[in-house]
Amino acid sequence: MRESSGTGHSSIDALAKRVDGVEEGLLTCVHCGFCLPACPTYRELGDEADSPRGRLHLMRAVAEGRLDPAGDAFQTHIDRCLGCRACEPVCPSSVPYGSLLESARQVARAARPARQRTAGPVVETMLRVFRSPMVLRASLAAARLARGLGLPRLARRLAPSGPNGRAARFAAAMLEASGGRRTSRGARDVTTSQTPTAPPLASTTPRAARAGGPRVALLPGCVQGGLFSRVVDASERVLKRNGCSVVRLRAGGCCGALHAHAGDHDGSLALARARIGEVERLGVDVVATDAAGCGAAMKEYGEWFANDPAWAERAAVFSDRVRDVTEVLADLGPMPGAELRGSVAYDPPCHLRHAQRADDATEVVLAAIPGLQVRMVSDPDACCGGAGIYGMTHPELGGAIGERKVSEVRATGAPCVATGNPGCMMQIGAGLILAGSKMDVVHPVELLDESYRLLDTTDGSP
Amino acid sequence: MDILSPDLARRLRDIVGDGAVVSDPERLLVYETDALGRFHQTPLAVVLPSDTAEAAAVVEAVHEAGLAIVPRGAGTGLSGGAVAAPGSVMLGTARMNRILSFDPDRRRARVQAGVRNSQLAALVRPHGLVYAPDPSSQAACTLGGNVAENSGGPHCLKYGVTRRYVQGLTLIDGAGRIVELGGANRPRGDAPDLLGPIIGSEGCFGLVTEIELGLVPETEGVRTLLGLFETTAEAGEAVTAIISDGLLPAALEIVDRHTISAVEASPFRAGYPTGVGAALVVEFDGNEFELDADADRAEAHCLRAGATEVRRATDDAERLRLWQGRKKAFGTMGRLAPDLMVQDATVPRSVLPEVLRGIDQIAARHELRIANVFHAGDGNLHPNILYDRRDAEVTERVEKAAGEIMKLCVDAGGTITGEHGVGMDKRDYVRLIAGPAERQAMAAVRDAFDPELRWNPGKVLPDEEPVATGSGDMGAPAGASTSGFTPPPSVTGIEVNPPDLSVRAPGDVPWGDVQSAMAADGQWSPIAAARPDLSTAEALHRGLGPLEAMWGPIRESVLGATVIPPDGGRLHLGGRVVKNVAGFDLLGLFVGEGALGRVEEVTLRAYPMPEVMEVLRWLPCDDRSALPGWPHPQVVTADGHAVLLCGTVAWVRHERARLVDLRGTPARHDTGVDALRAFVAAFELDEPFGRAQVERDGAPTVADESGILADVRPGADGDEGGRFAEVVASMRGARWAWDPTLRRGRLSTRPAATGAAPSTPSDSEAGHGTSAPERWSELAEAMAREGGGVAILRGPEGVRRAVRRATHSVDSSASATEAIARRVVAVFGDTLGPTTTSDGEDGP
Repeated sequence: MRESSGTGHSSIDALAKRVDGVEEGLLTCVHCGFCLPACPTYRELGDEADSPRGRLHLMRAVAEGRLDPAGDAFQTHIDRCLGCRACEPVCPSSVPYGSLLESARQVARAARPARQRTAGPVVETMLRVFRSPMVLRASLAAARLARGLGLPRLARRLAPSGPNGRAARFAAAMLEASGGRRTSRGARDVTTSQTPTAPPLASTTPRAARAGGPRVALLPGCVQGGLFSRVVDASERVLKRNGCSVVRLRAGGCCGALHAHAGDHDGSLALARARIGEVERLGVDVVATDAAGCGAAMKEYGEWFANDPAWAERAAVFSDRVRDVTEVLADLGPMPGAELRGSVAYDPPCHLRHAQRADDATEVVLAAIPGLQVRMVSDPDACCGGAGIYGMTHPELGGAIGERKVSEVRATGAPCVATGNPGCMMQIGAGLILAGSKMDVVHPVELLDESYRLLDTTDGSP
Repeated sequence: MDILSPDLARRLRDIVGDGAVVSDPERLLVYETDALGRFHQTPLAVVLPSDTAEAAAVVEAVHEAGLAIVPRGAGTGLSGGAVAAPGSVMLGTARMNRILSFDPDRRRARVQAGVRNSQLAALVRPHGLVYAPDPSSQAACTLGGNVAENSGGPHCLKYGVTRRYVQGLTLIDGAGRIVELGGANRPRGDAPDLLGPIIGSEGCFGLVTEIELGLVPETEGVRTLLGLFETTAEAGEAVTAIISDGLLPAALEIVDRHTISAVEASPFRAGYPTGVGAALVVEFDGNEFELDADADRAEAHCLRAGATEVRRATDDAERLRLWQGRKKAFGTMGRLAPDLMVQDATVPRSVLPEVLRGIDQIAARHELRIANVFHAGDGNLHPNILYDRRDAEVTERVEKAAGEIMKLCVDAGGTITGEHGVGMDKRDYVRLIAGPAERQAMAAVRDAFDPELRWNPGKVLPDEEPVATGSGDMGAPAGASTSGFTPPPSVTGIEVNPPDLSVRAPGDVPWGDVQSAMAADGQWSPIAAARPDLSTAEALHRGLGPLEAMWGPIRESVLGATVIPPDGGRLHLGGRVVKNVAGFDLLGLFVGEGALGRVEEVTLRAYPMPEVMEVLRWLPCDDRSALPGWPHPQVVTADGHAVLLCGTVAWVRHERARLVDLRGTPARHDTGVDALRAFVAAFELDEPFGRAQVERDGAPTVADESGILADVRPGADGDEGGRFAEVVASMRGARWAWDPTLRRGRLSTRPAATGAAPSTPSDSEAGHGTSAPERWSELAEAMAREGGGVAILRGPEGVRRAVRRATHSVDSSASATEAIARRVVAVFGDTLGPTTTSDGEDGP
């Protein structure tokens, strides 16, 4: 028996409004099917219920009252979407799929009987953790400690077979993959050599090669700040080198993207308000992030609050200021660094390529490194299967989608792969580890940072 | 409510696995409609097999359960063709997405039906090859769906539609039997072409699971122009002027004012200035040295017709932007109105301007917004009616307007669908273009393929009022037609229509007269290979010979015909337009080798006459080099208007000769000769091309009027050409020819008494042994064992029978194929002669 709560009805109403064209939304879907081949789950399963058009059709059926949102069809297929939004650029009618999915997930979440109103214990625990900066910081510190002690590797080896074991093994590999480069390299060579160890950020004053850049607030974010602090440090250094003044937003302050993707509407709005307030107090020109998922969400704050008179204006102003760190660099025209020999595979994160449509900037950033060969993975439109914690919630499907990406990454023959989102870095990294590959996963700004630091240590002479 | 029986559900899951059967009614909702979105019906289940064997087992199970089957590819169709029939099982091809083989040298690929059009295009592009049909949905639509709809696309003006490229296919009939068709599997030399009717049959004849497709070489360069006009009529006039000038662009596309505003308001902005009433995209492809001249001429025509601006793309990015407005047109309409009725009709090119004015009047009369996007070169219109289906009154006006547009197009000599198909959407309009006799014949041919009516019921043909007894009799002449069907006016002579690129001729006039009449108007037909003293009807019973590799089967050259089936009566098939997918295609049964009946009158597709036409015969000295399996010269372009070197360069004939067919302007001709020289040099042939080794020759045909003429097709694996050479050696003295593009050899033996051509001394040695049925029987068995086949095109009944029996002893699929052929032929009161299975005869 379904026990829909009041919020359940109101979220269906909200979806129905969009479906009926009261708000721009579903109705622009002409059912042409162009999105099918772009969708990773459809490509893997061949079932139209796992395609964007199919999901939109289910949403429309719910809005029309023909389909029970608590039923298995709606719950399963809305949940199974990766949220990669590869369907958006190929949609000739510009259906705002990503934001419709978020509405649909609210409906799905609210429709579940109260005692089951969880997306599984894993997701719910994570969402709770991410809502509180303090708990989040503590959890991530614990994760770092575990990583430092080599526990993920141990867990990966001890995990039992079967789907649960597979999920656990994958989770362990993801944590292991977040630890940065696993191979040692020599100077100037991406393949084999050793770049000078990064100095502690506070003790170094990167040589600002130019001045007068914008004032940038850098979002350390949650996962990025907790597990990938080296990436945030690298972002700060390269921004400063290119003349930006950089302040950091509060550590552990989540942007709300994960909550929005999971259908936790209230959770995402609360976090967004906190970020907006923080940035307003700082009075900066640009809000930068090196996590594509966070960037995509923050660029959409304006839409999130469009119907909230108190916040609409403030959210829109905020969203206008959001840039991926590579976009900030590309706009400035990044200073060239020292030569790095070798090659790097590049896989654009979906939230940079499809949601923000800003992945060109990464190529500009990588092009600032002399000598570096950039090899685009084939089928760059395809999702890696990361999609937050998809690998844990859908081990089979996520694994199959991930394997495809990992084999394409390996096919480039490069010793490392660059991608600009922590989720993708962990997903691809975990896939590489489980496949027994020695390939490294880095963020593009890490490579630029290495190149700049080489410039410092060698005084620019080869 | 109907649900799938647990037994059948279990059986289907056993065949394809749990995840590949969808039977939960909630999930089935997503399959209730296609891209048209007008018809809604969920099937009992959707089954997703992975290959032919699984699909056949699924069909067998569904057949035994007594249910109907509806095929579905990507559901991008625009006619309701892939919408379920009530109580049916839907068979989706989404998991049949593997490319089975790709042979760049021989320019062919074999694919599963669920492979996407763009997937094949992307695979072959790095090899310098192109899969030519490019429907606007190519990123998503499947090749199986393309075959079902006989899809076109912007570039089919020059390159033809899907039919031209299908060389063979695997079909599953209603009972789950696997039938191989095409190529070596043609049932008999005297049986009609069965591929023809299947292509475009909208899933009503069976499920196509595998397709063998021909590919064409990429051209050297492309020039894209965008002409901006104040009115659509002006753009239409520019199109007529371009075609009449003898130019054959790869594409000629028009988008109108409403479409432009939709595209410009979308993220796919093409950057048209405001106030533009129509945009014309003109694209040429071909050899670099000729493209600029062609583009200049087209630009001049645009300006003369009133273009306010003509843009020319200089790089790929710009080219894509010029195309953007056209390619994204359909989807962006979603922004203009909640609902869109996408229409599709074809009219003769020359009446485009007046038909467009007529559509404007219809729109005004019904107070509707109609946005036009169309393949102007083909006369293929897509008037899209914008509306909101929640307003019942408006919806009614939309239906009325759509009907009036169909009527307008048919009255102007056009047809009701050029590429979207009939499906459920246009069933009733079929009456506008097919009289009772034609509809009955179409139904009868469908029944011959699918006697139990299991495949995609309720599509294509309108529900007929119950006829009195004797429903099997379809002999009613079209003269007795009702339902507003008007047969074309009777024609007394040959009528050439240069702006429409077509010619109409009675069947009894000499083919030479037709050729001369066309030449007088600067037109030409690839049936040119036929002898001028044959009647036009007889010429149509020949194939195109080697030219088939470029212009497709002869069916591709025929737009419409009035035919007299063997049992009398008269059928008006096809029409006057280049693109036509209205109803089941029966024309292929009445033209080509093994055609049924007689052609009384025909409308042919014409091409601009090349300035120079010459067939050169080239004699390499080295034996090995003369053997098949040579790489094709890549300079050969499939350029319908100006053939540099005909695509059939390697048509080997008699003693080790190659025929090179050169057509085009003098400059093109010279370039062709140079290119051929370079090719010969590159392969280090001993004798340089261009000395006495190049000589003029007649039309490339090896057909003799007596003796045995047979097609021999070695198995698809390995060195087919080498295998054919062995066959030739065993048939000493036979004249032979090998076409590496079609991978088919032709053998001709004849009685010694008829003498030999002076140039081929070996002919005089033609032994009587080559006429013995045993020899042919052995050959047929050997070929069938290797997966190939032998078809006797002409010869004594004893030899035919021997070949059939030998083939069937090896290949059971051949007998399934023949059973279909037998039923198809019987529809028209003819027979295929004695069978091997039922008559039990043992000897000749």
